[in-house]
Amino acid sequence: MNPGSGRAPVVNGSAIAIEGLVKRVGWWTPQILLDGLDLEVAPGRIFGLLGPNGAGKTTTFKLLLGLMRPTAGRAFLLGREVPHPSSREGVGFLPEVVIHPEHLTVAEYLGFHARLRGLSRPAEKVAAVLQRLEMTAAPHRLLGQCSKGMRQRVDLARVLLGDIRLLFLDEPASGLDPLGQKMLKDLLLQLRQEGITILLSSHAVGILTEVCDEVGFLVRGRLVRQGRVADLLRSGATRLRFRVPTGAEAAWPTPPAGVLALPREGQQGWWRVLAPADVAPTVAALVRQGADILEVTPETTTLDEVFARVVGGVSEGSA
Amino acid sequence: MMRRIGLIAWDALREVARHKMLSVHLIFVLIALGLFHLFGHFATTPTLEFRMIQDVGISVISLFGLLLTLFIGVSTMRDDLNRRTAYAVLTLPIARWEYFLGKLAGTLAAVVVNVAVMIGIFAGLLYVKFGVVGPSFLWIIVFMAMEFAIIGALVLVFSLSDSTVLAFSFTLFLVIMGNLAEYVRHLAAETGWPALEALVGLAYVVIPNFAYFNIKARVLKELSISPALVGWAAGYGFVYVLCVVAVGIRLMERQDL
Repeated sequence: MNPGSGRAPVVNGSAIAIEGLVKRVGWWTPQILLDGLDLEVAPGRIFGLLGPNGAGKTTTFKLLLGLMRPTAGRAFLLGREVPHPSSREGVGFLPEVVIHPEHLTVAEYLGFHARLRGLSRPAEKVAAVLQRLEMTAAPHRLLGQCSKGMRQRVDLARVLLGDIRLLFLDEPASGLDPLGQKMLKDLLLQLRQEGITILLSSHAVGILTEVCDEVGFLVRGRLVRQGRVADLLRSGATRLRFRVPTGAEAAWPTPPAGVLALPREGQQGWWRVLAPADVAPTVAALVRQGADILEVTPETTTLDEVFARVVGGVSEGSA
Repeated sequence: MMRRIGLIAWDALREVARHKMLSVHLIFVLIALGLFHLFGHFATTPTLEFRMIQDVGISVISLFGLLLTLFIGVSTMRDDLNRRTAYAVLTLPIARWEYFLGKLAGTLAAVVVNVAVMIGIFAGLLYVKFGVVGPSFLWIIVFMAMEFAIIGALVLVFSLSDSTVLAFSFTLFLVIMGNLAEYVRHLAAETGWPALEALVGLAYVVIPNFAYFNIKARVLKELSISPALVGWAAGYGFVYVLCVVAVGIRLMERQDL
């Protein structure tokens, strides 16, 4: 199935549609956890919600999954209004912290969830999903005796039991080793291939750059920026690195108007340009100066830098 | 709907069975054996010994049942919510009231099974020692189940607060008040103060009246348990639990988890 084709019956074409979602808590000292969030995620896409700790990512998830009640605003999952139980049909959720009932074995726990989902032949479904996640040796182990990595896979198995079309992942890479992160990345890409829409949150960029189609930056309960990952990275290409030969440091080039010179290191120097479109004219200006330049490289900004700039910008703006 | 409630109830019962039941039964067996040994020395006649053992035994079962209901009820849902294991269930297309009813049913099933086992052990010991068990003895299970249904519903509702201690204390307070309800109303009527009488009258309606479920005296005197007695108790218990469950569901629906 092609990405974006989706299997879900979606109202207005969105797998997730959020309109002005607000969440306030506290009586004596009211606190705004979410401040008028608007968001749409198309079917079959992977959307990353980025934000520092306390930005409102988990609150967004809880509101969408019916674990919290919104103060104002509306949200729809696969066309059904939240928090009605039917809005969670075809929806899976993997929380950040995985705690299981320790008195159950892996097979019992998964069997319980298979039956709750109303699946026919639950034992077969459990066996199939354990096989898919290469956990065929685990079914009779008590959850209390499982390692952290295995518990995470059990939780993933729980979600994959159902015929899900929308998956929520809260800080999925948290605590995963590099191998676990690679497995997660491969799985997410595979799920997208199957047409499953994924909303994942993180306070660290990590694998988001590699798997997300789009990301949104959530700061203090507000979505301050949103866009396709490729566009955000392109828009952030604002640095130009150049290198001069040894002994040529005395004739260090002067930046043209509108370009900021960043601190240099030995033979290397950096200029910050305002927009990607300014890169070519700046290189031309560098050449015109007749400076002895060995190489010039436009440096692509990482999502980490975009994130830091967006979050920093909001903090500065509100200070 | 009923299937989902049943599954949640079964899971709650299974958790109790694997964690807490066996130790309670062992303690009870030890206490019961102690009772049999102790009253053998005190009682002057076998009939008196039989009555004393029955009296204290039923009280111990009642106390154990109460404590079990409180401990199971206070932890079954609160622990799930605190540890967030409930998220895996509540993010399925399951209504919160189904979850609440499932937990209540699981709690009650666990308590009834426990009480039945304790009464079974006790009746067995009585039969071995005296060769007889009172015909009304099994009614105790029914009446205790009704009483514990009310207590279970109350403790489950109070467990929606963040504090386990608070839930435990409130329920225990209501249990004590519920056992004194008739006396308190009588005393209020004696004072002759209309305001106090009205206040106590209101409290009398709100606080569960456990006098309906106290059949120990009848069992000890080997009196029959009339259908009217059973009907009143069952009707009162059913309506009271229904009201408590309605409040609990309403609170849970509005709660941020």
